[in-house]
Amino acid sequence: MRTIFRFILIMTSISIIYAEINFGAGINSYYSDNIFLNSTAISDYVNVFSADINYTAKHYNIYFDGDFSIYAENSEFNSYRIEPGIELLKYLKGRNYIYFNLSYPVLVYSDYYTDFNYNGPSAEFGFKYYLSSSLLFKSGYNLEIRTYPNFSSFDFSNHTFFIELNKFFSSQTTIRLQTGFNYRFYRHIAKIFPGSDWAMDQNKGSANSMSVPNISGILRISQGIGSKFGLYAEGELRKNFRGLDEAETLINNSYVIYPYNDNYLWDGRRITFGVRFIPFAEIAVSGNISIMDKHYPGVYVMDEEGMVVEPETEREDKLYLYNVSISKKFRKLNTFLSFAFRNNSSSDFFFDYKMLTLSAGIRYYF
Amino acid sequence: MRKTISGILFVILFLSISLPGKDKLKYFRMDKIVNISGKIVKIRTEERYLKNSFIVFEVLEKKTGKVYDVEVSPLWFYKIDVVEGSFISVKGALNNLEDKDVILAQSMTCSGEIFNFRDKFGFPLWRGERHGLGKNKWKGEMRKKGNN
Repeated sequence: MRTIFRFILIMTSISIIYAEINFGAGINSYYSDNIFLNSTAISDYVNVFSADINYTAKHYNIYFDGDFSIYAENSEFNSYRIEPGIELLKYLKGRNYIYFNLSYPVLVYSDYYTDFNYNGPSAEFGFKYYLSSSLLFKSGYNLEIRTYPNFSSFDFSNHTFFIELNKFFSSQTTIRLQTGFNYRFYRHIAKIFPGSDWAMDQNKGSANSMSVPNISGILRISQGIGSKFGLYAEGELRKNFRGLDEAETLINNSYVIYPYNDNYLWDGRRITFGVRFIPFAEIAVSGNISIMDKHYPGVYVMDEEGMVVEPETEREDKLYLYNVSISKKFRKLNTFLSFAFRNNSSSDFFFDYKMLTLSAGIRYYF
Repeated sequence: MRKTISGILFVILFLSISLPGKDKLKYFRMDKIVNISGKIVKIRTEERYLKNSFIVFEVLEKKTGKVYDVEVSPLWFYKIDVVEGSFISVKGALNNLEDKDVILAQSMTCSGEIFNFRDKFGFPLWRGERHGLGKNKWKGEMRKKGNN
């Protein structure tokens, strides 16, 4: 207790003396009845402790973010993540600006899942420009290069690019059109499974490289009603130009922890309806429902033994996602409570699941 | 010695009060807190306080039809996508300068979202709370594209 008190005192003193240096610390706790998002339905209570330190000048910020995830029941899944980085923000005329970020995230699992440890540089570029007083243009690009030291078949680089137009109307209606291009490139996937890694197999020359390009389009219509109430509806279409064929090593090893829930591996459509309002005392409440039809090109339905079921059919999911969140900001303290429920029906029984998550968090800025 | 120091301090104090400043000073007075709702008719950026660029909204109050200047925050602290025509509610401290009503914004709501600029005592949040320039916004936006 005395150590915590001393820590708070030191951080507060430094923040007061050196205004350019800021600290933040927080804890997010959540209970999930299905932490792996699959039919095993393993529940756990998770605490995520996070902290950040920032040195901020007028146009740049040097930072170091870090967090620890601690699982009450599945401690082999405990991990920490650190991310040193620098960001630059340059205002152009008016409210227009360009943004650049360079960082080097590192994720380390404590025990059983060390195959999923990764590190590598990440760069981001953003541009925001008002074409007129009611038309906003935004664009962004992200390059992420990941290296998995313990299982190099996972190594990949990601390119994500998007452009977005926002048109604001005097009726408090906003229409947003966004299109994006994603390109994931797996540098070397071992051909042999199980237990196979490209680094171990490279003397046999048995590796594939593989790219997974996809494009997406999003239409969002939002409507403000007065100043304290807002509604939105959003539709998204994604198309993958290539699937995960010939990537058995990836699919098998990542079966439990990495259930292909990222946007590089599925295509299909999503529709979301959401609401935001402020009922009283500057408490913000938001909720949304998403319905997703997901198709996983190159990922085939498997049986309980992990063997592809004949005749081969690609995995298809229908996901219903419900979120409700309540948040309140105090002077230096941010708090939130949230509830999430997922109901996923899949042609692959392993991914036929339901999940309920309750989360609460506080974050304090020194 | 003590007299000399006192004399110098007095001169500095006298000059600081009597010399005309570029900006008229504005104070966040707790007894002058007001709430207004209305449409943003114009958004300006203006140089204020040590040549910092500030965002200023001209807000047409719905009830009275009066136009207020709402001083929001320095440009770098402002990360909101509201435009002219947006309907907002503002809570802040009213100042009257040369017959112009200026509100120093404490918080603002727009379409169900809350944006805070000063704490409950009126202390600016941009002083000592620079937790990044955009990493949460831009990185968050990119990460959202990668996970569902």
